[in-house]
Amino acid sequence: MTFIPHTAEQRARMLAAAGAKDIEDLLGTIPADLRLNRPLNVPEAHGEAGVCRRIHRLVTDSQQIALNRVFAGGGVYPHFVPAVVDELSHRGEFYTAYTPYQPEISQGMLQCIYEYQSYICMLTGMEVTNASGYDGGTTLADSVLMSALSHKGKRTKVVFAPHVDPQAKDVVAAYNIGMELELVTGNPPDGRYEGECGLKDLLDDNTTCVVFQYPNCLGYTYAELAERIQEVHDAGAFAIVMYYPFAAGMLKTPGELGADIVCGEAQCLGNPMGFGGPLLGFLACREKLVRVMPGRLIGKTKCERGDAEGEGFVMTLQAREQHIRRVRATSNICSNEALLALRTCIYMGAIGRSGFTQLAELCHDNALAAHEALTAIDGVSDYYEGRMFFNEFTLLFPEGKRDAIYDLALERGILAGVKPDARQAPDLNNALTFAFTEIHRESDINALVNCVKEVL
Amino acid sequence: MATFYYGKTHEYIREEEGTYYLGISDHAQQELGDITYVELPAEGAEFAKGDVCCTVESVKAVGEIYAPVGIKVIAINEALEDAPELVNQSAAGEGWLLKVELVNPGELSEMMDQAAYDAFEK
Repeated sequence: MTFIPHTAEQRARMLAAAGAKDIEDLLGTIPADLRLNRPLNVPEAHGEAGVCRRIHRLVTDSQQIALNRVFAGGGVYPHFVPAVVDELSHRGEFYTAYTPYQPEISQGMLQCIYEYQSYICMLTGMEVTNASGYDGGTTLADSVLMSALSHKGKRTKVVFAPHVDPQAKDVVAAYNIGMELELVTGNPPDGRYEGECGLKDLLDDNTTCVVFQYPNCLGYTYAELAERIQEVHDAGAFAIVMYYPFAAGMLKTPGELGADIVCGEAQCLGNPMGFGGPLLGFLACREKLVRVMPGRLIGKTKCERGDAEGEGFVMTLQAREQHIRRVRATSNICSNEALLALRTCIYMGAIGRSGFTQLAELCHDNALAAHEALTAIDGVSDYYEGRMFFNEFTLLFPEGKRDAIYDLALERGILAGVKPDARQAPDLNNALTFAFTEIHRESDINALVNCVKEVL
Repeated sequence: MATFYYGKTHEYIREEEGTYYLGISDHAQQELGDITYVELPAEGAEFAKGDVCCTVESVKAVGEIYAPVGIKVIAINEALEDAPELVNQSAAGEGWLLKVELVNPGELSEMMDQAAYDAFEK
């Protein structure tokens, strides 16, 4: 659909039809003391060359770290994005497409989002998913709201297993303002998750849901997640799993493990890190929960026009959405990340099923190699000894050395992991969480290892 | 032979040979449009007058259904799960929502009879 701005003549005709002399007349109902009676405080406009110079300076003044020297994950990962994703998603019909309210002119975009939904269902093992949300944190909040709504307010306690990303929990806490759900975190006595996650004491008949992050935010998987989820179900609560979808190339899907709702961050599938955004939240669930699932849903339907028999795509089950349910909606989301969902759809199609598995194995192999080299260094230890990880793990360094390692690496053009949020446990002030993808080569990992060796 | 009692928010209680049914009026189904889904409570659930007991979803709206009098649910209309359109086709008949027991039959006298409802400004 082409964008054509109004002409002065069209504006005049519309004003005349509205009985107004000019635009100011239409704003007459706003009280005078609320009107801004001066120009906006915006700097003077520059010409194109001036803008280019300014942007160029901003870019060159910041430190550039090559993607293959980024070992930081924690939700946003340095994966390689093939050129075909940019090439196709930059097509005008895709890049400027708006919400597909009119299916008759949006079949291309609708089909791509339907296929995106299909990929997410495959990766999560769920029966239905929406057309995406803003990011992993907000989809986690939406998942919690879905759970509370399903229990019709009769259960008001939300339990988090240890090591759910604290920033995602902050988002849930923000959504909880006005909801007054009780948010608690499982904390085993020694501060470390093993086996039961300290959940047994927290599960009761007031628990609406238990949230697991898988792998958890320090990178580790749960050997007995299926058993934990069964315990959650036995207590009459929903199991929400916040998932890293790239792991589906090697790990069992949350669906196979019994999850009711799966959410998380899908930036890793065909999207750049982008300084932390835009991101791509996904939200998937069992079919029995579809009516409380917020967000857009694209469905496949039959086309009944005489000359166009066959299938078509359309936004469906719209009575769930906040523009119809209003105050009774599960959440206020009324948008999606269509462009990023489209890019994920292109990416998955480009790498294919076998490509996806190969890439996941590459990530894991790189993490294993780095883990072996790093833990061989005197003074470096695993945060969770002997626990399995996918492509991310957390290491402890001697007291006071963590920041020295991080800073030296930065001088060498290396981002040495993420400093984990010490709200989870104070000893994380001596730790770094490292992530590895298919983009890292032996030379990159060696450069990281050498930084650590030099400081210790 | 059935007797209808109507509430101000377009629900009815239909009395037929000693059995009471709760549904929405033909006017209400027209306003809602094509009904796609009906959310019904569990058998045995009790609602006071004015409580939300059901939700009816159409392609364009969601309508909350209020108990016009105190009720206890004896049965739900299971046919509506696969055929919610029954509410559009026969709101007063096969499209009933709940079979109920009246907690306080006296409350029926506060509702409108057919003539009063037909005259009621909608």
